[in-house]
Amino acid sequence: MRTWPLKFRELSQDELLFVDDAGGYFRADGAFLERYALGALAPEDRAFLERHGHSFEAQDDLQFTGFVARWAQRLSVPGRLDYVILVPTLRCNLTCDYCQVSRVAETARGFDWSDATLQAVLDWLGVLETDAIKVEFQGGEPTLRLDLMRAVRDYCRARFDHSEFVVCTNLQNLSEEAWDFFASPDTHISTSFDGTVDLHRQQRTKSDGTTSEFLRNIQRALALFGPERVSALPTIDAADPPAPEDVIAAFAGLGLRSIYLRRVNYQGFARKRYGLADSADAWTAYYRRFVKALIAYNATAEEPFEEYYMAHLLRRILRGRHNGHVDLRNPNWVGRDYLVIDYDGTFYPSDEARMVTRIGQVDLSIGSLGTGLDREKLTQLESEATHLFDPDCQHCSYQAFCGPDVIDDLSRYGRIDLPRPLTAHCQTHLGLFDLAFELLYSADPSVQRTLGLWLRVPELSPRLAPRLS
Amino acid sequence: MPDTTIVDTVVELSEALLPFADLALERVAYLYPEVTFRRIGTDIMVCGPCVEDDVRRDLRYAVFRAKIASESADLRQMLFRAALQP
Repeated sequence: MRTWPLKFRELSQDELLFVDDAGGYFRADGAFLERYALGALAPEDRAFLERHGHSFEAQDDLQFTGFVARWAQRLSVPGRLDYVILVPTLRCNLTCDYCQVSRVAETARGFDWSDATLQAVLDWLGVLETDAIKVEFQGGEPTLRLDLMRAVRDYCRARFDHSEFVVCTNLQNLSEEAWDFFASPDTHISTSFDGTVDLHRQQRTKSDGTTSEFLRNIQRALALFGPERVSALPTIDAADPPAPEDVIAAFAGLGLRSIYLRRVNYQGFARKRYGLADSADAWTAYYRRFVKALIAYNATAEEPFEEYYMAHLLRRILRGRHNGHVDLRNPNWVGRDYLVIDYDGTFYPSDEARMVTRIGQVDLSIGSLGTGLDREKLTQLESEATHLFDPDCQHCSYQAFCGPDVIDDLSRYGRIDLPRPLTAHCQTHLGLFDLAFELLYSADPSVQRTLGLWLRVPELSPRLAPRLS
Repeated sequence: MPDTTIVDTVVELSEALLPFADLALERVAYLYPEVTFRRIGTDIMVCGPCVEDDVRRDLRYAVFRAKIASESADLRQMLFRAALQP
């Protein structure tokens, strides 16, 4: 019998998590680690490893082939480019605290697509090989240029078999034409709501009148289109976060059922000013408090809540082919299946890359509508697209579920070759995956109820928490 | 949390783990940038500010990881060939 390599992580004084390259996992004690590492497995160990798919007898036998298939399903295979983030204008009618770089004043000139840029966008969409397209309108505030969004949407509906649109809007100053635009069933609204009304006013809207207008608009949007087509994301300052219970109550009060916790992503000088370069611990501590509060809420709530990212991590742990979230996948291809097109027609691999470039930190543009994709730049950025051979990741228990984030590393450190455990991306995800596994192994009925809801299963099977004892 | 102190100690490795000590030290050294690790025979001398129990554990785990990775390198090659080669 040959055992596939097991990576381990200490969970407590005498309990460790073991995970193979295909994502199969179990808990065992330190004595097992000694037996395994020193090549002295007991017959019971061997039986357990065989029963749980961590070993095989001969190359190409059923156990071997099954493992290879499970491993391959963990890989993100680049598909056709079918997801595009468009920035028709950089102008915005709000001045949020943490958005110094991706907006300009509403009255500024030269920050909207020109007629020629619009036509170039449509021409570029026209030659994509996909039959289905998802278009996300970002800004600035894209509703300032309804005409441009309408032109893109009309074109996509005619060009593709299936098209879907997301308008990332601050839900301020909306005309009736904007509401008409939102009314189409293929169009979704994504907005920001910073957790509580007070915090939203403090960080974004600045005045009672503007705050009231936002609240009226989000209530109207939810009443008209429901939570299926309207999502709101809070941006949380890990150094001064709101009470989780207050955030949950505020979201529930609006009729929302999903929260995607995001921390403030300061760039450049702001990152230094707010001292958040090393805030991974503070963020994961808050995240823990939040998930705990959500589990307590769901224990009695008729309408339970999901925290999107933790639910996503749990799904990635439990099954392959769950690579829909472009910020966490392996390999993390650049400019292949999704792309950002800025207000001036420049291509970027992600919205963060756009911001990093805009503050002059490092040019992460990967071409433009005029010149096409910059293959040389793509090759450079993709040199670290996979963590399979990273000298730290290859020993990490969470490798099968995690993924590299080159853009985040470049934005924080100006380089991509730091030892993984020294990066914010790694530190944060170690904390989040630790939490995910604590939840999976929890015997608390309220935890199991929430996980069952998030994983869409009636009850959690004990087989999801294997233990070698 | 235990306090960091100036540690001057020896971690002894068994014969089976010795071939993997150098690989392990490469990875542990950056986790403890202020600590000096020196291999002398079957011993690893550890000197510098750290928590002794932590550094002993991390060193042992790093040697285990290096051994597991080295001894299963052929398995990973088989895996990559089976999954990725047309």
